[in-house]
Amino acid sequence: MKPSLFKKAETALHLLSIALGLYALYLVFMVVPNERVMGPVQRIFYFHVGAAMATYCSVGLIFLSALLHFATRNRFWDTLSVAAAEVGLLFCAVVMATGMIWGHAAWNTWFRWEPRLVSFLVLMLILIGINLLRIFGDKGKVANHAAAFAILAAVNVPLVIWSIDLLPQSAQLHPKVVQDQGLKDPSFVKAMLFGMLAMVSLQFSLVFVRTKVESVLRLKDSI
Amino acid sequence: MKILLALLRKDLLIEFRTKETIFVTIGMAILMSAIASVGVSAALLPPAAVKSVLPVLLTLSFLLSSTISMTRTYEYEYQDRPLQGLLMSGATPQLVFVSKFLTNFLTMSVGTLTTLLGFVFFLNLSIAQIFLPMTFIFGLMILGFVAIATLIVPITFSSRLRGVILPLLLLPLTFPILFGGIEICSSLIAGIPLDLSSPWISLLVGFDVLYMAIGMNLFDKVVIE
Amino acid sequence: MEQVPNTYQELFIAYGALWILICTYLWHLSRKVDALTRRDS
Repeated sequence: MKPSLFKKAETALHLLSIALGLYALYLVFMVVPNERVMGPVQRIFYFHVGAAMATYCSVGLIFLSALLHFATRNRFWDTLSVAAAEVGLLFCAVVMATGMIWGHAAWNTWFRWEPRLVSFLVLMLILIGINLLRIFGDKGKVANHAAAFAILAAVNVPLVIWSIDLLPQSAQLHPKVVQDQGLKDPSFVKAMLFGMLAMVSLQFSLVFVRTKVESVLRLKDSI
Repeated sequence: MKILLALLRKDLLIEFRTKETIFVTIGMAILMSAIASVGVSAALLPPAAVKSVLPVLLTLSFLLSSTISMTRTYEYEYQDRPLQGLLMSGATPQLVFVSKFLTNFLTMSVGTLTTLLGFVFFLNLSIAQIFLPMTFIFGLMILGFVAIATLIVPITFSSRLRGVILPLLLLPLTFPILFGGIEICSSLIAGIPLDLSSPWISLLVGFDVLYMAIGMNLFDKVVIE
Repeated sequence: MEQVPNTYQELFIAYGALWILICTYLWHLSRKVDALTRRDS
């Protein structure tokens, strides 16, 4: 890719994040009505779900870069993996925090040991593990080790996504909002969609900048 | 097949001659069952409640003893790098993985069985009716745990933190296996017969197969320098 | 009964400003890295 085109793409990405974020915030705070049962606190849902999507995107990026690292041995994929792991952990923490705030406000429980919440907590622990491995691993072998670990981490994500559908209903607390047609008002769906797009575009911007910083650091170390 | 048997013989001979791993596992098993029993009796729990926490106690003891003892199985492979020699001599990484996996599975199974017997003895439990299904479920749990541990231990071995980082990396990955296993054991203790079509069994078996497949395929990437 | 408002203009402005701040800072960091690499080469 030509440098000037690359710079234009980067500018577009940042502008897109700003635009999508502002529109999502406008929809959430100025357009959607209060939810019938939970009231205004339900608005946190739009960013909670968006942050969860961003986490899945990050884990997907880590998985992809691990596979490409083993296939091509190009150092870029390892650099991307470092960035995606850090950003993934950040968004995972956001999901847990917003989930706890929403849970306490709506159902008076900070946390409950049911499949969806536990599997997301496990995902967060796995992402912490990947980052620890990057910090404390053997410098010569950490690329291979982190890639192997990333593949193992990625196989846990389908469990997180589908734990609500696959595991017994008696164990569930987490709401099956979309599937049970809880979003009756079409503005709810639009706000959720733009919330997701805003968070995912922020995630891509963060990964982009972090990858740039990491590649400069590696260049400095190799000189 | 001959190479696998030779590798297996080597690993089992090391285990039986040094007896390190097996002694540590059995020792930890007895210690954990004794400590848990003291705690349980101090809490003055009724027998039904004691029986219902058995799967959790057993899992915790198993996790603690296996995390400590699994690093021992790799000590010999890293002093003077005999593992590299093995790989150069014609043994494929997949065969090395399978032999390590089978040895660790044997050791962990012996340890877990001792822990279970320890709990039955110290807590005066009667689990005769559910003993076989429970050992089957724990066998499946150990299978998945050992598959993932056989891949993760070499990763942590080359890191600065070594033994400290092993539980941090290993335990989150074993959550689906533990979750499934504990749920099934709890329902066994509650009197519900073992249902092989239950989603928890699918979760357990699914992750066992997945981790074994991934472990076999990624082992060479992790150990070859 | 107390009327709960349906729109939150102050929150929109506050969070909007925060969002612009975060995204602009990211962009600024990226340009700083570009400037560093240009200077080194």
